[in-house]
Amino acid sequence: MMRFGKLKVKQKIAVSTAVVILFFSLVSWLSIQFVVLPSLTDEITNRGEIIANGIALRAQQYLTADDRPNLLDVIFTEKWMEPYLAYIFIINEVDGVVVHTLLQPFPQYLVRVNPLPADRIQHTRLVKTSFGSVYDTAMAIQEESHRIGTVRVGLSKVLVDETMGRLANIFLAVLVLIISIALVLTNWFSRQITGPILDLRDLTRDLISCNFQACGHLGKRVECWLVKDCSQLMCSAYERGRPPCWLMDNPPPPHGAEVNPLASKLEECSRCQVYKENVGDEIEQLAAAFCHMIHKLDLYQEELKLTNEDLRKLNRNYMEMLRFVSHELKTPIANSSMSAQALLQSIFGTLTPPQEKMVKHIYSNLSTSVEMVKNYLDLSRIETGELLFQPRRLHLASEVVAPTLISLSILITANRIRVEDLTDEGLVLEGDEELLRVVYSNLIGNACKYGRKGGVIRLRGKNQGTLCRLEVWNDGPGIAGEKMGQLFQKFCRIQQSPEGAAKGTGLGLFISRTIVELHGGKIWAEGVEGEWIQFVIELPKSQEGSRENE
Amino acid sequence: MNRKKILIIDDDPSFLEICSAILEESDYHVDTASSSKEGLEKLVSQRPDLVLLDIMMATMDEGLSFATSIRQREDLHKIPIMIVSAQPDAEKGYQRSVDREMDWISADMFMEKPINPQDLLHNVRLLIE
Repeated sequence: MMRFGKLKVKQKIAVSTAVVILFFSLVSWLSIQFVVLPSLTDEITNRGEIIANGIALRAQQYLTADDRPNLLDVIFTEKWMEPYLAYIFIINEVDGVVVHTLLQPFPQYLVRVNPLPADRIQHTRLVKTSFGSVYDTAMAIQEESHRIGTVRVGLSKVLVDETMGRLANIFLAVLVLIISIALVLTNWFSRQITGPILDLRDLTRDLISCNFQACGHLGKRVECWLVKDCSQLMCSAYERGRPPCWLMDNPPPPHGAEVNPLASKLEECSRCQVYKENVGDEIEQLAAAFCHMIHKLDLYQEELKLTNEDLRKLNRNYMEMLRFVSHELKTPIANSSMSAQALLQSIFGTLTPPQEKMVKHIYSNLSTSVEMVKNYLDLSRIETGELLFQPRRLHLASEVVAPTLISLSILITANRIRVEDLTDEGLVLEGDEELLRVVYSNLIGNACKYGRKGGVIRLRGKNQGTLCRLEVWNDGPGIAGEKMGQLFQKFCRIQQSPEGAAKGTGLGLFISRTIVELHGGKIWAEGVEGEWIQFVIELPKSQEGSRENE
Repeated sequence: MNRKKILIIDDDPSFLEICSAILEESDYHVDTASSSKEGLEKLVSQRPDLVLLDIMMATMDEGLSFATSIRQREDLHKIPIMIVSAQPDAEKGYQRSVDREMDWISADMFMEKPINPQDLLHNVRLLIE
């Protein structure tokens, strides 16, 4: 069995793009946090030490000579060179400030915030000052290994942080730009992929509604596969009634597609510009398969339409012939039946017992023939759609059940059957009197034919809400439960008469079901095999209600 | 006593013969016609008390249109008509003419073939007497 994975192209592209962007953002952030910032701090610390060392070297002779102007020159030269510089000052052996770069009175606490221990020549610490946090480097000024003073260089952390902030803003701006571009590209890419798939989906919907002309949408594509759009009219691959050129497509053609046998011309085709544009494109292949399928479906539908039309005509002719033959048969049978009945009713004098017995046989067989002919006439009327349905309000017990029982009285008596008619006297429904008599006649007739000789037929009819529930029960052998559903099929002969010979046309229950359905009702059979069988009919009391339910 | 006259119009000679025999046994005076044209001639000349009429004769519904036409004639419209047919749809045709609430009906009674002779005699008696 073929299985399809989920595609969800838009979603997948969006998710994967988001994941990639997030991943790179995380990596960039971590790099800045743990690599760039520490490096920058180290760089600044080193920078402070380099500046302090340079000053210490140049300041040594001026400090010894207590040449303050040159000392100032040294420190101010550095000050103008270094943008992050907060201060530079030099102190002597007794921690007295000799020179400094501050334009305000020197705050004496600065001397104490980062004192250089006696055993070290330099060190750097982050200290808090009135200028904010400062990387403070203290470097010893030595003369022949003897400390004669100390240079202190302070680089402002605030300025460093500002630089960091600017960097972060730039990083964020770049990130937003990348995300925006990624979103636009994602949308564009996914549209490129999903667009043709969605077109195919719409086409499929058209196909479901049997709109085969929808194939025209695919015609806008330049396709080598459907020869109609190909400009290579001289291409030999398109001969033989110009079938779709499946050979140019490497995958095997769809099931049932005709394969062009001219493989030797493939080389020629592969130079075709249209082929070059289409080869390897999955959507093109899918669309080509679709086009082929639509083409085939269109052909099949046309064939089906023609076949259906022929069948309909054939069936109609057959039914009209059946009706003609049945009617022609009915006339002589009816005449014979009328004559036999006249004899039995002693209209022409009393018959002797053997004569009466023979005439009864004649009459019984003619009655069976009349019933069969009636069934065929009804079938013909149903199949040609000429069954007239004229509902009116009627009393079921007096207008349908009682007349049917009278018309079947000879059959009922002959089978020694006791009929218990428990139909509610006041049961009124909207129905076609003649058609309902046909239903009752079929059901009671069946109960006589297939029921037990000397048995019971029980008729019930009562109101049940907006419905009437009618039952025809008999204590005959019934049939197996699994065959109940087949009873109402045309020409069905499941029931066996006690004599074993199946009488009738197998149409009675089919006709009954058709009539019941015409009334907007339903009919079914239930029972226990070998014990009893019952036919149940549910009819809407009013035809208006039945139409509303529909 | 004056015997009641019945005219049977049907293109089936067998039915004409059987039906005549049954009715004559019950002391009716029966005449037959095998087409509506012949039927109309006998109807005008004999003025029967009842017409038994088949529907499908030479053409479809010939009987029904025949019944309709004699209902529209002043001199004949009072003669009762019983339609006999092998087609159950004919009853619908009869009912339809009643349903249209027109000031005439095409038939007084309908009987589907095969006809029970006792029912026939009963209905004839109803219509004539």
